[in-house]
Amino acid sequence: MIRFVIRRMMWTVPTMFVITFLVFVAIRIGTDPVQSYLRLNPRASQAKIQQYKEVNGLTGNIAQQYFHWLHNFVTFNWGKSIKGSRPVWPELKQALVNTIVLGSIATFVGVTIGLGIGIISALRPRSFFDHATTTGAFVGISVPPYVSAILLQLFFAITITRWLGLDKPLLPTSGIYPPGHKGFDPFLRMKHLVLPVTVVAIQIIAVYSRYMRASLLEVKNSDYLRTARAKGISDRRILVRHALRNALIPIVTVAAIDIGAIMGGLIITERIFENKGMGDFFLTAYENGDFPQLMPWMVFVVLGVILANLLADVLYAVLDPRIRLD
Amino acid sequence: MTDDQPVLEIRDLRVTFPTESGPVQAVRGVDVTVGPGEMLGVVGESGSGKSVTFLAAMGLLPKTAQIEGSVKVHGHELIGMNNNEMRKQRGKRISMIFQDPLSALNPTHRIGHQISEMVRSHTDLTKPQAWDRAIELLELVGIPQPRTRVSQYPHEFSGGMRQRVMIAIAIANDPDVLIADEPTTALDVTVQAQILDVIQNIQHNFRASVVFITHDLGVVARIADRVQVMYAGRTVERGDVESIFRNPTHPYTRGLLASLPALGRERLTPIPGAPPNMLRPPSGCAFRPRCPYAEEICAGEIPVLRPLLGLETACVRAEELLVVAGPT
Amino acid sequence: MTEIDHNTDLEIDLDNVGSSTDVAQAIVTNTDADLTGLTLGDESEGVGGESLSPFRLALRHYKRNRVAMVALIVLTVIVLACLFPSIPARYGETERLPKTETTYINSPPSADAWFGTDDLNRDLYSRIFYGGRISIMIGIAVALIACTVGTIVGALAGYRGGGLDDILMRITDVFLAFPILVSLLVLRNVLAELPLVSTIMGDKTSVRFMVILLSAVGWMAVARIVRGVVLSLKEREFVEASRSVGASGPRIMFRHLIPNALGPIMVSLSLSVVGAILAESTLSFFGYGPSPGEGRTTWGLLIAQSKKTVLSGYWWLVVFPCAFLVVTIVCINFVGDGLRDAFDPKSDTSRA
Repeated sequence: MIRFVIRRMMWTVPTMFVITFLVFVAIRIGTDPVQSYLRLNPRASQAKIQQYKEVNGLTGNIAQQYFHWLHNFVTFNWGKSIKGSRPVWPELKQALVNTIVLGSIATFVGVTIGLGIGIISALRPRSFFDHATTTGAFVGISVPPYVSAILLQLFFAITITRWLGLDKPLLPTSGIYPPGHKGFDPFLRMKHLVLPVTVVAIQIIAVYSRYMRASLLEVKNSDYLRTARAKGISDRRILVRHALRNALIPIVTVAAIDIGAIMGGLIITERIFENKGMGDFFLTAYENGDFPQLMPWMVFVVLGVILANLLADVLYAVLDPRIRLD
Repeated sequence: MTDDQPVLEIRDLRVTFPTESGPVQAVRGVDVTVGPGEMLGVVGESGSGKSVTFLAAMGLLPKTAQIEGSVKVHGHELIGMNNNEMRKQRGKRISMIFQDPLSALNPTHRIGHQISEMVRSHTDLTKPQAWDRAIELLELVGIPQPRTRVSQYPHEFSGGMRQRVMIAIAIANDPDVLIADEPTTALDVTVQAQILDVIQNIQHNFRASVVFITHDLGVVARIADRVQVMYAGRTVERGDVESIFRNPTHPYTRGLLASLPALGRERLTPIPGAPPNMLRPPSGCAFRPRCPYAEEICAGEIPVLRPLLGLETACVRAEELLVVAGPT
Repeated sequence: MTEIDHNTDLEIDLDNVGSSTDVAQAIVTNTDADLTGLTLGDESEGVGGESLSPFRLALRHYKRNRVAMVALIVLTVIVLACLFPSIPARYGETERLPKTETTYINSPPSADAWFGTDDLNRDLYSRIFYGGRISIMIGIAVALIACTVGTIVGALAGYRGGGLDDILMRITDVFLAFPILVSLLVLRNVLAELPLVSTIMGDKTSVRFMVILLSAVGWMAVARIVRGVVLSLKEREFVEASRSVGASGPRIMFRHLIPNALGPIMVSLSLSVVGAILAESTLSFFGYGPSPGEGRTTWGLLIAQSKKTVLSGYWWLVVFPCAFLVVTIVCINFVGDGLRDAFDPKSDTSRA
């Protein structure tokens, strides 16, 4: 097992090289940093432009430029954004934190509720609960996050406020804190997280409840569950030690991969609710053609996905003795 | 037949499943009697109701199944018990082993755990004690190196060994009745023989009553004391194994035996037709459409078992046929 | 599935009869009617006893599924209404209503404007159908292209294996590692800058560009699904049987593998349509979607424009386009699920 992990880690390095190179090329084709620079500094002189080019390694062929970037990247010299000339790392770090907060709370809530619903549905198939939640899950999957986000915003900012005659919205619909707020206030933070978490959680609940239901149903119909019943052991034991134990295996591995995707997966929600996380970071950088910001972001995302996949494989092997990693 | 009280007594068992197309009568009035230390072979095609009968006895049918009749083990009535009580009986009084040992064992639990779970749910043994008992049982069913094997997983065992493990689990609490539902069907012929030996050992050394469900006449001939032939949810013939094989009286049993290849027979003679649709079984004798001797009278009342020549048969024309059809 | 011939000659090699039990087994278990599994006979027989092709069988199965039928009907209504928008629409796409007491800029629903009006006093109700036409057409076009390409590539990769398969997996791995929106946005820029490609695809904001962009990303998911199905089917006996009769590779692929993969392919189709509609509307929402021309619109654009008005409380501008979008997607999902169930009922563990 350890050997497997080490081997994977070693493979990660060349993989990262290749992927970052491809990404580098792609983004360069798509956005020319010089153009972006010019757009933001339209009156820059030729000399300034040349200086900008040299400082940022924009001379030479594409391979040279890549290695220049790579060198800077691994020495943590991440430069400054094109727009506003702000250091890249502090903003990226903050974005990372925000996304992790939003992502983990939403995942926790969503997975817990989703699995719970799935389990109950599987234990009472074809019941009213089952039909209702299946339809709900279908609808949940079908409603794109930006639609639910916007509808929730509308509802909480306008509709409820009018109904209840409040002069301030019941739940804040944007930002991490109210404008101008300084410092750390957990209560306010939570309040501002309610709507974004709901939007993300809806999707998670819809997907995981279906997964759990399907997985548990399959286990329920298995021969070994019949054997367990034939042994005369208690129903609770059958449910937990046999049914859930086996039904959760595929779900855990999928969850690991989903978590890896969280980094860039909240773009829409973050943008709509003005929650400055990784997704929002990307979108802003993209809009501005801000190359120095885009590359480190990509690296983080790819790294996250690779690590998450590794975690998923390891978990699978740990949980299912039939799987042998080699 | 022994004079002792029968260990397993099933009377007029009826099982109906509601389906989208209507109620399916899987078992339509079946009686079973097994004495202590006796091995009853239950023979029939898929759809004859042979498995359903004993699943009903174990209480393992889905909740939608409608069950009527009586199932008694040592005089204790099992039908109508609530879930909790039934649970206590399963694995203690009456035990079952199934056809495919690979899928019947939980792939994520160690073998020792699966056996000790059975032990601990019916006794007060502690974990280490139950683990030792598991090793004992593995030895009993003939698994080599039980101390190492006990911590392994099902996929590390071969098919025959897995079935032995299933047997070990089933006998862990010394049940009164052991039901074996086609335990050798999924195994190679040579392994089959080994498993049959194990089961016979258990029957003799533990004086267990065994019900051996199969569609394989060869197996039945080899190990059963008595045979019960089922067709379309009813028993058509039963008796001791010698009589059944020497002079079967029911056309179905005759057909089964006649379809076996034997030296000197140049052609195989299978039974024509297919088993009936249990949504709408034929009136009277269900075998009628395929029976070479069927007459009008067969479409009348459903035939019941009656004694003839040392066995019991459910054919209205049985006596006539002794003359007409001649010996087999 | 051919019925075993019960009547006369069973093909058994008499030299090789092992134990008597084998033959008796063969005869005694000559039926599919396994009651403990509750499959009564072979459903593939029609009423008169004739056997139905997989398509007719699936069709019959589908018709029995009430939810899927309702979804199909609703979907058909919406699609038809959007493909021929002049029929349901009450005004033109860019027509500005005369200013009255009930219909002015950003007016709520009224008798003259059932879904209210937007900031140019255009009837939202009518615009929804005009907008829907483009969104739906994009969805269908992308689904068809992506699924065709994806199925062929995926089937080839799965069947042939080897180098092609490896390349396919690597490429799709890289793409699918990034969030879709990111891939779409980056690819959008890349494709727009590449000299040859951009001339084929047209301007970044054209519908044609969007269709090609979405297909370029969409085929990969389909390819992976089909590859997976083919891999598992490859090992089944009927493939070996075909090969032993001398069938060639492409023949096996087209006559055997792909037809048996129809279940997952149907699902891919419906998922692709949904994915395309969602992608187009999401991109439009952020301003990177197609702009079909002066004053014309898509569902994504309608919702994007309503974004600004949320705080002003013009709820109708948000709710109605969203409702149409969601209902359409829900229906497609139900239809897709119904199709999958119709073609491959065993894959659905929800019937327990």
